[in-house]
Amino acid sequence: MIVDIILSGLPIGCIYAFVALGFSLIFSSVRLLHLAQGELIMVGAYAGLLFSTVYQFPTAPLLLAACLSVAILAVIIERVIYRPIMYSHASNRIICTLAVGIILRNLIPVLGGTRPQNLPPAILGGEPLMLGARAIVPAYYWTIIISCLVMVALTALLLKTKVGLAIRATAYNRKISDLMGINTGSMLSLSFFIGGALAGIGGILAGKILFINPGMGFGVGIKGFIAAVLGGWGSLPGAVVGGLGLGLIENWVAGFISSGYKDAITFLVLVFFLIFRPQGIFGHKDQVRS
Amino acid sequence: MLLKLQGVSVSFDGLKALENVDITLPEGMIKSLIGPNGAGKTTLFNVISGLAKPTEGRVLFQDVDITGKPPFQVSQRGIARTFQNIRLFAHMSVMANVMVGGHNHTKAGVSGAIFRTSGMRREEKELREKALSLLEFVGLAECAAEEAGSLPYGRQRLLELARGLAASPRLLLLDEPTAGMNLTESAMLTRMIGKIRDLGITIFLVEHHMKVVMGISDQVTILDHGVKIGEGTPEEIKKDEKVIRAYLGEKRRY
Amino acid sequence: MTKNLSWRNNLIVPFLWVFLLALPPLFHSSSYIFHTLNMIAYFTIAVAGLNILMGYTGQISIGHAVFYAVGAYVSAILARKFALPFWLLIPLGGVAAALMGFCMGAACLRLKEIYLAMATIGLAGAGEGVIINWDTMTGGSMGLLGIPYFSVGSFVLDTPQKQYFLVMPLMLLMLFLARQLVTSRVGRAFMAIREDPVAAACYGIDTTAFKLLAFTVSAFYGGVAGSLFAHSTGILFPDHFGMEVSILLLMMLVIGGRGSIMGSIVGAALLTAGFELLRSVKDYQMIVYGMVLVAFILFMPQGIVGTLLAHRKHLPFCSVKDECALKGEEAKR
Repeated sequence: MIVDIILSGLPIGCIYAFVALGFSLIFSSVRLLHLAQGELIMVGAYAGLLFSTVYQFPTAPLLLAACLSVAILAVIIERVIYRPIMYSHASNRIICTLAVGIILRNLIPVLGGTRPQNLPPAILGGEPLMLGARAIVPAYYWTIIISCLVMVALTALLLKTKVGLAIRATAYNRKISDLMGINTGSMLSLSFFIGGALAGIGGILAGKILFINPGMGFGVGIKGFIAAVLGGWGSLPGAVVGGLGLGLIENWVAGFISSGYKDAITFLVLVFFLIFRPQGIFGHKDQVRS
Repeated sequence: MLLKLQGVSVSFDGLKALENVDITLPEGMIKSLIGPNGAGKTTLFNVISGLAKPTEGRVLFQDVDITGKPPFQVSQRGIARTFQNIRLFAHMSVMANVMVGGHNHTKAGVSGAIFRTSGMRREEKELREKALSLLEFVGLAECAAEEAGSLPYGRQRLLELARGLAASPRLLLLDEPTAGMNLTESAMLTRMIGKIRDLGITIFLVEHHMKVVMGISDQVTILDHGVKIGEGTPEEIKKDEKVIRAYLGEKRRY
Repeated sequence: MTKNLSWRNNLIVPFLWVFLLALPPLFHSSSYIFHTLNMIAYFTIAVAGLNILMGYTGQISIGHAVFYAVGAYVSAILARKFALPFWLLIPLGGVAAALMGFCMGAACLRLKEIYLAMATIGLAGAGEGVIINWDTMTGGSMGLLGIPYFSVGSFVLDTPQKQYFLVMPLMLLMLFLARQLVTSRVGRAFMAIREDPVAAACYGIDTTAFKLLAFTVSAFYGGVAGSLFAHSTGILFPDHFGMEVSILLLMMLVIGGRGSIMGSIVGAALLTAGFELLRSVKDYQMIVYGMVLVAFILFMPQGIVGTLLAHRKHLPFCSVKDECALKGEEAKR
């Protein structure tokens, strides 16, 4: 039973982790609650659909294409919409991200139709992996593998490269980074680029595990959001832990308690955390309380 | 003794902002707090008004211990302040800013707001009249309807002063009230401070303009790196070695 | 001179409103128009409440529809079980929502802005989850059916036209109360908290208490609106109250104007009317709305009424600023 929960919980947890990483990364650089992050995942999934069905891309180029297209979209949105209101009241900025989410959510059906679809079987395909008597669907194990690779790459980027250092410095304190000669404007765009790239890859993975439909961004977005809060808003390890944890908890609840109450219980866990430990697992108390 | 600070120390993450500071302020006095930048003057004000909690020591106001009490309670006891980095209610009118100053002396709540009893209306009328007379006192009466944030810098400082006076405080803390003002404006403000003292309000002043400090203070306290290094009348302070050293460095410049 | 000025402002505007609102019954009898006008009223009340919280006190509430939902469901359930009169059901719906707002506020007020926003989203989601899952009480996703209409004596308000005569005066009353609140000492305290909570505290304003008050009042308004809505069609579904509605309320707030009670009417009216007008192009409707919202945040963040106010000074039924402007000028004479 436990093994089943892990096997079904981890892949969806990885997707939540992707969303949560995007949230936390953008938040720590721009101090923006980017509520359209889930919609970026949805765009990634549809990009995957486009490139794989119309242009017949195989898996690897597909990942790259989706990654780049969502990343570029994210940067465009950042420059055109979010940048001018960077110093506005927080509520305005949050409402703006909601608006962007609405536009994306409703634009895609106009372009791509609302019928739920899936990525072609050739994408992330292969033989099921046999674990004793259990068969693990290729999409599931590919998700885990790709997620691990992405996490490693991201960690390497942030910790070992100069660019990564610049991003972290900007996230820590923008004014000082500016004075130190870091081009903070580019850093902000770069954070969105990476956030978008993560959403692009996450979108492909989600496209295999979930049904692709315009509303998927909302559901995945909320879960990723909760995962980020649980793990510690702004903390990247927290996002991963939160995402995986949430995936596992959800499946556990669905398995042992009831699958109907799964969502309600997830929200209650969120509420519990917000009341008693709003900084999440990895966050700091002062960050959160005024 | 209106205000007493006893052994007040404040540390932030190992940095000592204030160390064992003792201050007494009798009623009716105008006392200035001077010192180089970063000496801890605003921190001291923050401790008095409840925005910062001392790690050691006590603050006594009218012999009542107000150490660590939240700011809104401290203000209810009769302490008002202005801020070094102007903290006006920018999108409210000048008049409304001053009226908020009088918050502690009015009591209308939700039911007062909804039912507009004659008591509530009279309270509002009196508050408006008081606010207007304070605006006349500081010379801002013709700007009453303007947005506070649109005023020029010097006038914003005057507005902060009017707001502080609206609280009818016993003790008024002024944090660099003449910052950014030219000589004429500073002189006018200095005269105003004298008039405020004549109204019976005790004044504790942080200032950098030595002319203002020397001109109006009954007593001057010097703070350097969080430590009180001197206290006395303006005449005594001018001649104090330690003060000169703190401000001008080791070598005598003249 | 002084007296004339205030009397003039205090009476002309209400007469204007009553006149305007009395017009539709004289010229139309279509249920559709009246239904739309009623919807505008429900949203106006909810947005006025949201305005008190966000526009005047500067707080954030992203999931505000949850109060609308609580008011609607509580009122509907009580009506089905106990057959209470409307003048009990409406306040009860409001109070239920207010209680929830109070608890939410008490739990989350010490959180910083963005975390408060997150908390409101979380709590709204939790509330929706409870509504959907507690189907023995709420009917769950299948909906709550058989909600009795309001009746005044033996006169049953079963059509939009009849409901209009209850809904509109109630909307005016709620707006009036809101205005009374924000033009008072309490309103000044709210705005001070929005502008600078530190300075507000140093002048005697217990920011936590006032924020809690703002939360509670704004939730009450949401509940009242919900109760009115619940008894208009006899059925309630959870999709009437999801995140989309919260976002719609926020749109009305931004487009109409924060910090102005009149702005609530404008926002609600424009967006509800827009909804109906754009029904034929439903697919593009939300895209347009999203783009309009972005445009407003970028170029006119104060909303329609807010921007107008910034340029003119004597629009009545609005913020303290203008009352003070008026008094300031009177005092000069």
